Amino acid sequence: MKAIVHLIRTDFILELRNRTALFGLVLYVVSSLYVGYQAYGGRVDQAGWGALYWVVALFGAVQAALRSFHHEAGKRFTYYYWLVRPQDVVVAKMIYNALILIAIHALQLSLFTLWFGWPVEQAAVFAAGLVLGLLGTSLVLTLTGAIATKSGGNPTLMAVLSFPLLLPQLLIISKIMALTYLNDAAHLALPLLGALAGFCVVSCALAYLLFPYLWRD
Amino acid sequence: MRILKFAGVILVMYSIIWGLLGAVPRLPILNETIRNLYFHVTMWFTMIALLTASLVHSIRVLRTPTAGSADLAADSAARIAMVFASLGLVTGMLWARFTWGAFWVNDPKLNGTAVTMLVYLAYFILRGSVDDTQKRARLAAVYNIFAYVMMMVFIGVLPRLTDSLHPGNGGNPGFGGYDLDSNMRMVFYPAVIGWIFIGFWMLNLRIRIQQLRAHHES
Repeated sequence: MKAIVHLIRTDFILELRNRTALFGLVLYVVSSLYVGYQAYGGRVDQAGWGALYWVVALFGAVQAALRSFHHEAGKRFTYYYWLVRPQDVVVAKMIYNALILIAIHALQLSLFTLWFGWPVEQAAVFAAGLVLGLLGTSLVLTLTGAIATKSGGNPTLMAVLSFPLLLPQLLIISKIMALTYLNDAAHLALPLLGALAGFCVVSCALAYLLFPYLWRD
Repeated sequence: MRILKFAGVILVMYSIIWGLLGAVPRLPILNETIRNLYFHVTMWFTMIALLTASLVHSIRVLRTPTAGSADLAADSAARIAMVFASLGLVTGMLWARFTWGAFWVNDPKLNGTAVTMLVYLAYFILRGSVDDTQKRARLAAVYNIFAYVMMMVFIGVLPRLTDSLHPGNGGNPGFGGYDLDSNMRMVFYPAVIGWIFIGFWMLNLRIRIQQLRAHHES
């Protein structure tokens, strides 16, 4: 537990020391949003709003996860190997990735409301779907990011490995998004939110079990 | 393996003959296309059986890294499974065209198929991009296990949450409900077993060919 907190703090300190990577990510999200704003001419219907939000979110999340093992790619893996358990490393990375994604989404959400409006009626359902969706996405992407880093850090491979695994969650999220525009549909969203939470639990358990095999060389 | 392959051939021959000649219920829209059940659904059963074999071999790779043929077996099983997935997709698209009116519809089962095929194509890409054999075996095994479990959760969960045109999902009754009568069962179950045997025979052949090739090169 102490090791996990330490690892997360180390990641934050490294991130703050080298802010270029973080700002690159922020700029990536902002510019893709602005491209979307221009492409849609500033007017989107409800279905388009949710679709655009999650397309930008997905690509942003892949970019974020791509950097997550960047520091460890070289000698640091070997250094950590002597200090901490691999399970601690993967849990720390998953928490860190989820925190970064949620922070970025605070920005993305405000820019989205500024440029595309706010058609959501069920803010609580939207918030729950957003947090669970981002958590699930970052859990899957942490493990695929580790695989991609270990196989040479090819960015295409990262997208190829993770998109099909994220598709199920995106399908559930798009169903939740469709419900957030309705007034009295909160009870319909509960089983979908449960399914998202289930995906989170399964992918977390798998990453915890499988990461030690990825780690050693 | 000898018994497996002869039993497979006999069962599949039986299912082709009785699948085309046997009595089937007369149902609106489905009509004679109901016979495609013997050839379409069996492909998916075989694919799942082979993917499960691939999973077992991937677990073997991680548990005992010295098991020489486990990685080859996991790779081969996934490849043969994708052959059956392609056949299941083609037979399903033809069936969909004649019953639902289009080759492709937005249906949870079809999404599950798309995810499965994309995941295993990604698995082959991953294998292709690592040169070191030990490392490739380990990375591919981790991805295979992760992908298989996520895929099973998806296939198991999502059709229950949404409507589907397929029988057995979202308000549509299952096979047993109205269309699979006892005549059809007598053909369908042997066909499933027969195709699974054929699938494992193909797997065995591929593993042996690859081993011979490796032996020849060394």
